[in-house]
Amino acid sequence: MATMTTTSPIRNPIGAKALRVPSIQKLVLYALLGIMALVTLFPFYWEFVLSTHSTGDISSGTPSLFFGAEMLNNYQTLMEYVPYFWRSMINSFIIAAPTTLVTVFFSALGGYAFARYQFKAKEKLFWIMLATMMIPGQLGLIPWYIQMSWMGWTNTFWPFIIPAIGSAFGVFWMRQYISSAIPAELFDAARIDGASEFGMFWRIALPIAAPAAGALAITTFIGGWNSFLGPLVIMQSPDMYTYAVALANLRGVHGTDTAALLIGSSIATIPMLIVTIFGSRKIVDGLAAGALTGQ
Amino acid sequence: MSQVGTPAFDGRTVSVPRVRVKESTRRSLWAYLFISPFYLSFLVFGLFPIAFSFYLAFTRWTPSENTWVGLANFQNMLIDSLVHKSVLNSLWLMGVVTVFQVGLALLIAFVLNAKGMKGRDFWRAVLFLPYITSPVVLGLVWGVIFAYNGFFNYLLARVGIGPVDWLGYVTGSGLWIKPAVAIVTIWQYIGWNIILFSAGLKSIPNELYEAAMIDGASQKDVLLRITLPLLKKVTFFIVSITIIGSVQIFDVPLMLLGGVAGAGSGTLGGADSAGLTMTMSLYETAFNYGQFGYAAAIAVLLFAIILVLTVVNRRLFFRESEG
Repeated sequence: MATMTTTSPIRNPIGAKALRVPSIQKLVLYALLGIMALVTLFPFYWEFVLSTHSTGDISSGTPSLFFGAEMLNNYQTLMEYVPYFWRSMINSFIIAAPTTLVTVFFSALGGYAFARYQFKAKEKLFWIMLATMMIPGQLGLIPWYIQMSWMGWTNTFWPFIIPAIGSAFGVFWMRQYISSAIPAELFDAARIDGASEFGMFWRIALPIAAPAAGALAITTFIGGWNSFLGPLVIMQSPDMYTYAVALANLRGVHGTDTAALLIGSSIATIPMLIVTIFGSRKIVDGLAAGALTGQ
Repeated sequence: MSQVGTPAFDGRTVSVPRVRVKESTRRSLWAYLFISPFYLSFLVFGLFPIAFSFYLAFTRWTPSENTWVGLANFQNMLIDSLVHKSVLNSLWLMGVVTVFQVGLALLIAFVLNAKGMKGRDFWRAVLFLPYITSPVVLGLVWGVIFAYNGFFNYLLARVGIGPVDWLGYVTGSGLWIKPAVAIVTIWQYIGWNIILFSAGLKSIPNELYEAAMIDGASQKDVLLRITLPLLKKVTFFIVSITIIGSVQIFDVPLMLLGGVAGAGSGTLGGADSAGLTMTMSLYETAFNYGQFGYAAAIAVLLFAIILVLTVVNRRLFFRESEG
């Protein structure tokens, strides 16, 4: 228990603080959390375990809880069924990376303008932007598809990269951070030193807002990496599929090899595991705070 | 502030007069320039498709024709039992998912935030993982877990239950399909809700609890008079995103029930179409049957349902204080 006293004194021990929890009760609470963690993690473990067993073993109904020896075979089967599997992973990346750059840059730019400038239509425009966040995305799916075919953008990456300029959540998120974290005096001083308006954004606002930009980048990247419904309707040739579309197309086809699908899924899950292990604390805090200030 | 020329970012020099009033005009011009990409993009890729979808809903729009048909799509929807089914399925999922997910999340958030509990970062990292994993992958993995001789039934058999035909492939009955979809959905998003509730609990000032203790308030009083009322806004937010998200479910039921292959063959959504959601229905209508106008009408119905649910939800939450 000594470690408890060494944590930062500012750190709030949170929540129902007035509830004193005796140690037996505490044990029960830990047990509950343990079960929760087990239930949460098991499907991931199971995904990896089954990807090392043969499809025959998987469907035989006597699950082995440990890793098998069929991983390489399953991988070969996957390559046979989906020769474009790695290509589809690259495609997911081609959507995720530029989308992230574009979203972070233009969100920061817009957020900076809303945080630092006074202009006539500011309140109205900001309100309109917030309102756009309420529109359910799927309402526009069909007209969006028709629009993309008019523009000749089907089977390309443009429908994902260019609209990423207009992220209402991103602008809102960056505005909140820039207006609270950067003192106005800093900009006044820079202005006296002859900095240009864009220069102030690029050299002052953006570097200082890096933590917020980082959190926005990670969520945008995850969203792009997992994108499914959009690519499902836009991408026509298999070499343009994202990994999610590739897996969805394979599932259910006659003679599909479950184990091969699972090894594909496992490979696609690894980046998310890495994010969880190395970056989740900062992202989680940032995102939770961001989501709630949206109120 | 005596600059005559300000270097713009593209390297040109913009000359500006020295007058003060003009300086503020100049600055707001920059502000408009900085926010314009968002609004241009929104106009072209956000507002236009939405406005267009309301038009499409009144047309017969296929790859080969587009004609104005007035209310015909909506009249057809009135007698289209598959659409009715998908609406009921989506509403069922919305109700069950919202109640269980938000309720359980609140309970677990209390546990996680109880005094002296350690390892919060670890628990939260664990809870975050399903939220960021592709629903396509999760639907696939859970499809294997829910298989007739899959792991779930194996566990149930151990305690003498089952086997349950979760996905309806063996008995041909869709009875357990919606519960299976709900379980996966709740499992995926509950962690994120717990994280949000935790942030909400964390923001309640400590002094309130201390004051309550000094006044001799019971734990029940503290919960009912302090914690829950102060969590109201957070709860409203979580309920709202859960309703909006769950009524639009697509990827998980699609993957649990056979992937894209079922689309267009009339088998989408599994046995009895029990797993056919509104989004699946509009997807299939547009992209397998080429009925874009009809699909847009389904999207408009979905939008109307979301609008009504949001309004009702707001009324229920803020009845006393603002009604």
